[in-house]
Amino acid sequence: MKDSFNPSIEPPKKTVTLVSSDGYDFEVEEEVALESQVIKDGFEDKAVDDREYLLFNVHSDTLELIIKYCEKHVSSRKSISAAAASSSSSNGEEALKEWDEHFISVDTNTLYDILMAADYLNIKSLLDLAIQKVADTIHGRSPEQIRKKFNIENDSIIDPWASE
Amino acid sequence: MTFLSLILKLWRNVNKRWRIMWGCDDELLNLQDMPYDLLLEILTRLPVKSLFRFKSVCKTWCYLIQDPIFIQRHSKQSKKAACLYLSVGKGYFRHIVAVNQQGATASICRMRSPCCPLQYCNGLICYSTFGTVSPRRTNLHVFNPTTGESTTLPTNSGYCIKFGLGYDESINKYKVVDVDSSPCLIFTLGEDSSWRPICSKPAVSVLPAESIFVNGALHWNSDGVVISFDLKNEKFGAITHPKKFTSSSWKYLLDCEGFLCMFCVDNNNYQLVFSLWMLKDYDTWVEWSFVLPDLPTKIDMPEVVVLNGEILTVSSYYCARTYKRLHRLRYYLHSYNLQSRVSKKIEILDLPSHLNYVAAAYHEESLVSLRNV
Repeated sequence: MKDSFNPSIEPPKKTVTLVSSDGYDFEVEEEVALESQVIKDGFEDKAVDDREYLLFNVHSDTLELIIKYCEKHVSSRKSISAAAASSSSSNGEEALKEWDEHFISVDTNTLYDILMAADYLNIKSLLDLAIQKVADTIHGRSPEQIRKKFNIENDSIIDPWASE
Repeated sequence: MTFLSLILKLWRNVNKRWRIMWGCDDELLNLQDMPYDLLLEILTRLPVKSLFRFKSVCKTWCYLIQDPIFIQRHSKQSKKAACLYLSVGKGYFRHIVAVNQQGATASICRMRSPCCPLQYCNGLICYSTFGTVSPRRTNLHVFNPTTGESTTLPTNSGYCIKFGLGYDESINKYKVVDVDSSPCLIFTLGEDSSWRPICSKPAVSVLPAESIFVNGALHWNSDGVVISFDLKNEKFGAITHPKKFTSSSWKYLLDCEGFLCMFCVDNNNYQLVFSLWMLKDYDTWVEWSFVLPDLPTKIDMPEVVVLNGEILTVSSYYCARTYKRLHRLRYYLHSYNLQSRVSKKIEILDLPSHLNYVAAAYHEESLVSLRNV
């Protein structure tokens, strides 16, 4: 009974519809969608009732992962700031880092899709994470493996034996 | 026809799942699809060792890795992964060792000739060696320990004992300043063929040998004042010491993540008390004081480096436990976290035991080429 008079009760959450390249609709909270700088920039220009974004470059499989990432980050940011406000010690950031690590441990193609989508949607933290992951996976490889992995033709002017 | 394509799609899906399940993800990433700036961003995250190897991948990568703009971006990125530099030596022979925050060591280089003060800037080292022709003549060298390249600067009229190495971001070039001769001389790497005199004069006639490069300027600590030299305008300046400054027994300047700091050591009832004064916006000093409980009082000159919010220092003392090897030195890495105020002490193993000189500075990997300068 008391709750209904509480003015701090949150207003009904606004949602945004994201449409993937293969035509699936994803309804997400406004806050989650605003993680993307591109959507944030486009947000001011749009009419209030028109909340649909066509993402031509993002496949539904990738979009699902990206929404999962954004939701996790929005919720954990809230819990971290809540923990800081009540001055209770929590290892929220550590847990989030671990979650990120687990999230980005995917196969090469998915990683590539995430990288491209994060670049397209301009989600800085996810882009950073994906780039670091790619760098980590290639740093110990030989030039031959890199050529194979990135599909590069060998036109090198450097003798591979001289550089070793 | 549609049935066939459906089966093909299904097969591809199963094949993909199968590959993921067995962990053999050797699928090809198509470089043609990758935007150029993304590739650049990935390459800037790689260590120098890998980049050297990847020069032989293809022509594009080779040119990219040697590009000065790429090198500049890479150096900004590698700042985050810096670790502690130790230069240990007997007499003037120096051996440079990198130590990370966990106390693990990696040998970086061994100087072949005796050398005087070492000055560090963005992973490059500037040092002077005693000349072979005349004993009073000294030569200045700039050395990149990551790539192993070095260059010798032309001799000038001075003795080259007091000098500083700095970086001018506006032209992406390194400059060496000789403050021993009068007027002071400057040499831009890769641009000048001889030393140029500097029009501006420092406010103090005699400067100390140690200089520190922070925030686009070189700094020397003098009596009651810090002398600065802006590498872009090539002008000297002065910053007064904080007013509430105790006459500490020992103080010196250091780079605290892009801020100029004054580090002071006081001996208070046989316990060393440290205070750190940070210069904010080039006009106000902010103080921090702390005690490292495990630090032996005998050490006289703790060299300090600030890394990722932790103050790191190295202490060494003799351990006379085994009488066969009386003079065995032990090195300890002390760290103090500025945020949590927790201090730690770790023994650094695998250091050459007979060496007796320890100096600490930042170490970071640098791709800067010194071959053609």
